[in-house]
Amino acid sequence: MTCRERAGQVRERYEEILSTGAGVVAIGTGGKRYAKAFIEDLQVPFEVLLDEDGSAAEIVGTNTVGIGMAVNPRAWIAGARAVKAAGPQGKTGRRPMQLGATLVIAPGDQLLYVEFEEYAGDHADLDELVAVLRG
Amino acid sequence: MSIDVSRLADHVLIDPDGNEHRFGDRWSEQRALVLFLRHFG
Repeated sequence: MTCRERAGQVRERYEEILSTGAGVVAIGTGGKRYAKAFIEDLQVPFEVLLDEDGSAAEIVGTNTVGIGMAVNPRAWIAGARAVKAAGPQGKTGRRPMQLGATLVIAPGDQLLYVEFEEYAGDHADLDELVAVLRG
Repeated sequence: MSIDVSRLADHVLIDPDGNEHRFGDRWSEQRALVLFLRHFG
Protein backbone atom coordinates (compact mmCIF):
# COMPACT_ATOMS: atom_id res chain seq x y z
CA MET A 1 0.00 0.00 0.00
CA THR A 2 2.82 2.44 0.80
CA CYS A 3 4.39 1.51 -2.54
CA ARG A 4 1.16 2.27 -4.32
CA GLU A 5 0.89 5.52 -2.43
CA ARG A 6 4.44 6.43 -3.47
CA ALA A 7 3.82 5.56 -7.10
CA GLY A 8 0.73 7.75 -7.08
CA GLN A 9 2.65 10.67 -5.58
CA VAL A 10 5.33 10.45 -8.26
CA ARG A 11 2.72 9.96 -10.99
CA GLU A 12 1.00 13.19 -9.92
CA ARG A 13 4.27 15.11 -10.34
CA TYR A 14 5.63 13.14 -13.27
CA GLU A 15 5.41 15.97 -15.79
CA GLU A 16 7.16 18.33 -13.38
CA ILE A 17 9.91 15.74 -12.90
CA LEU A 18 10.29 15.25 -16.64
CA SER A 19 10.57 19.03 -17.06
CA THR A 20 13.85 18.85 -15.10
CA GLY A 21 15.30 16.70 -17.87
CA ALA A 22 15.46 13.64 -15.65
CA GLY A 23 13.97 10.20 -16.08
CA VAL A 24 12.18 8.03 -13.55
CA VAL A 25 12.51 4.32 -12.92
CA ALA A 26 10.90 2.25 -10.19
CA ILE A 27 12.26 -1.08 -9.02
CA GLY A 28 10.15 -3.58 -7.16
CA THR A 29 10.57 -7.05 -5.77
CA GLY A 30 7.41 -8.72 -7.01
CA GLY A 31 7.01 -10.92 -10.08
CA LYS A 32 6.05 -9.95 -13.62
CA ARG A 33 2.33 -10.46 -13.07
CA TYR A 34 2.29 -8.22 -10.01
CA ALA A 35 4.34 -5.60 -11.80
CA LYS A 36 1.93 -5.51 -14.73
CA ALA A 37 -1.05 -5.20 -12.40
CA PHE A 38 0.74 -2.44 -10.48
CA ILE A 39 1.36 -0.48 -13.69
CA GLU A 40 -2.17 -0.98 -14.96
CA ASP A 41 -4.02 -0.35 -11.70
CA LEU A 42 -2.10 2.82 -10.89
CA GLN A 43 -1.62 3.98 -14.48
CA VAL A 44 2.10 4.25 -13.80
CA PRO A 45 3.64 6.43 -16.53
CA PHE A 46 7.28 5.66 -15.74
CA GLU A 47 9.44 2.61 -16.29
CA VAL A 48 9.14 -0.29 -13.84
CA LEU A 49 11.84 -2.93 -13.49
CA LEU A 50 11.94 -6.07 -11.39
CA ASP A 51 14.51 -7.02 -8.78
CA GLU A 52 13.06 -10.43 -8.03
CA ASP A 53 16.00 -11.75 -6.06
CA GLY A 54 16.69 -8.44 -4.32
CA SER A 55 20.24 -8.28 -5.63
CA ALA A 56 19.96 -4.64 -6.74
CA ALA A 57 18.47 -3.65 -3.39
CA GLU A 58 21.34 -5.49 -1.73
CA ILE A 59 23.89 -3.38 -3.63
CA VAL A 60 22.04 -0.24 -2.56
CA GLY A 61 21.75 -1.47 1.02
CA THR A 62 18.06 -0.91 1.63
CA ASN A 63 16.83 -1.38 5.16
CA THR A 64 14.52 -4.15 6.28
CA VAL A 65 11.50 -4.05 8.54
CA GLY A 66 12.53 -4.48 12.14
CA ILE A 67 10.78 -4.79 15.46
CA GLY A 68 11.23 -1.06 15.91
CA MET A 69 8.82 -0.36 13.08
CA ALA A 70 5.98 -2.10 14.92
CA VAL A 71 6.24 0.31 17.83
CA ASN A 72 7.10 3.42 15.81
CA PRO A 73 4.09 5.79 15.82
CA ARG A 74 5.28 7.36 12.58
CA ALA A 75 5.04 3.96 10.90
CA TRP A 76 1.43 3.56 12.06
CA ILE A 77 0.56 7.04 10.86
CA ALA A 78 2.21 6.39 7.50
CA GLY A 79 0.32 3.10 7.19
CA ALA A 80 -3.03 4.76 7.88
CA ARG A 81 -2.19 7.53 5.40
CA ALA A 82 -1.27 4.98 2.73
CA VAL A 83 -4.46 2.97 3.20
CA LYS A 84 -6.47 6.16 2.79
CA ALA A 85 -4.52 7.16 -0.33
CA ALA A 86 -4.01 3.81 -2.02
CA GLY A 87 -6.27 1.24 -0.40
CA PRO A 88 -5.40 -1.86 1.59
CA GLN A 89 -2.23 -3.89 1.28
CA GLY A 90 -2.05 -6.11 -1.81
CA LYS A 91 0.36 -8.92 -2.64
CA THR A 92 3.74 -8.29 -1.10
CA GLY A 93 5.88 -10.60 -3.23
CA ARG A 94 8.86 -12.60 -2.04
CA ARG A 95 10.61 -9.94 0.04
CA PRO A 96 7.96 -8.33 2.22
CA MET A 97 10.50 -7.20 4.81
CA GLN A 98 12.47 -5.02 2.41
CA LEU A 99 12.05 -1.27 2.77
CA GLY A 100 12.37 1.26 -0.01
CA ALA A 101 15.00 3.79 -0.97
CA THR A 102 15.18 6.81 -3.24
CA LEU A 103 18.23 7.76 -5.27
CA VAL A 104 19.13 10.43 -7.78
CA ILE A 105 21.97 9.36 -10.04
CA ALA A 106 23.63 11.49 -12.71
CA PRO A 107 25.74 10.51 -15.74
CA GLY A 108 29.14 9.20 -14.75
CA ASP A 109 27.54 7.16 -11.94
CA GLN A 110 27.37 10.24 -9.70
CA LEU A 111 25.14 9.65 -6.71
CA LEU A 112 23.49 13.00 -6.00
CA TYR A 113 20.92 11.91 -3.44
CA VAL A 114 20.04 8.88 -1.40
CA GLU A 115 17.46 8.32 1.29
CA PHE A 116 16.58 5.03 2.88
CA GLU A 117 13.17 4.29 4.33
CA GLU A 118 13.34 3.70 8.06
CA TYR A 119 9.80 2.33 8.06
CA ALA A 120 7.15 1.61 5.43
CA GLY A 121 5.83 4.89 4.10
CA ASP A 122 8.91 6.90 5.09
CA HIS A 123 9.11 8.49 1.66
CA ALA A 124 11.73 10.98 0.54
CA ASP A 125 10.42 14.53 0.15
CA LEU A 126 9.38 15.14 -3.45
CA ASP A 127 10.02 18.88 -3.33
CA GLU A 128 13.59 18.16 -2.26
CA LEU A 129 13.95 15.56 -4.99
CA VAL A 130 12.73 17.90 -7.70
CA ALA A 131 15.24 20.50 -6.52
CA VAL A 132 18.06 17.94 -6.76
CA LEU A 133 16.89 16.88 -10.21
CA ARG A 134 16.91 20.48 -11.37
CA GLY A 135 20.52 20.76 -10.21
CA MET B 1 26.86 4.89 3.77
CA SER B 2 28.45 4.54 0.36
CA ILE B 3 26.86 2.79 -2.57
CA ASP B 4 28.87 1.18 -5.33
CA VAL B 5 27.02 2.93 -8.15
CA SER B 6 29.25 1.46 -10.85
CA ARG B 7 28.33 -2.02 -9.69
CA LEU B 8 24.68 -1.00 -9.60
CA ALA B 9 25.00 0.42 -13.11
CA ASP B 10 26.24 -2.90 -14.47
CA HIS B 11 23.44 -4.80 -12.80
CA VAL B 12 20.88 -6.31 -15.18
CA LEU B 13 17.20 -6.10 -14.32
CA ILE B 14 14.16 -7.30 -16.21
CA ASP B 15 11.00 -5.47 -17.19
CA PRO B 16 7.50 -6.92 -16.71
CA ASP B 17 7.76 -8.61 -20.12
CA GLY B 18 11.00 -10.33 -19.17
CA ASN B 19 13.34 -8.20 -21.28
CA GLU B 20 16.75 -7.53 -19.75
CA HIS B 21 18.05 -4.01 -19.16
CA ARG B 22 21.40 -2.70 -17.94
CA PHE B 23 20.39 -0.60 -14.97
CA GLY B 24 22.98 2.12 -15.57
CA ASP B 25 21.53 2.97 -18.97
CA ARG B 26 18.83 4.85 -17.04
CA TRP B 27 21.32 7.52 -15.95
CA SER B 28 23.98 7.31 -18.64
CA GLU B 29 22.76 10.44 -20.44
CA GLN B 30 20.45 12.20 -17.96
CA ARG B 31 19.74 12.34 -14.27
CA ALA B 32 17.47 9.60 -13.02
CA LEU B 33 15.12 9.42 -10.10
CA VAL B 34 15.47 5.83 -8.93
CA LEU B 35 12.70 4.54 -6.69
CA PHE B 36 13.27 1.30 -4.86
CA LEU B 37 9.79 0.22 -3.87
CA ARG B 38 9.13 -2.34 -1.19
CA HIS B 39 7.04 -4.43 -3.57
CA PHE B 40 4.19 -4.00 -6.03
CA GLY B 41 1.42 -4.50 -3.45
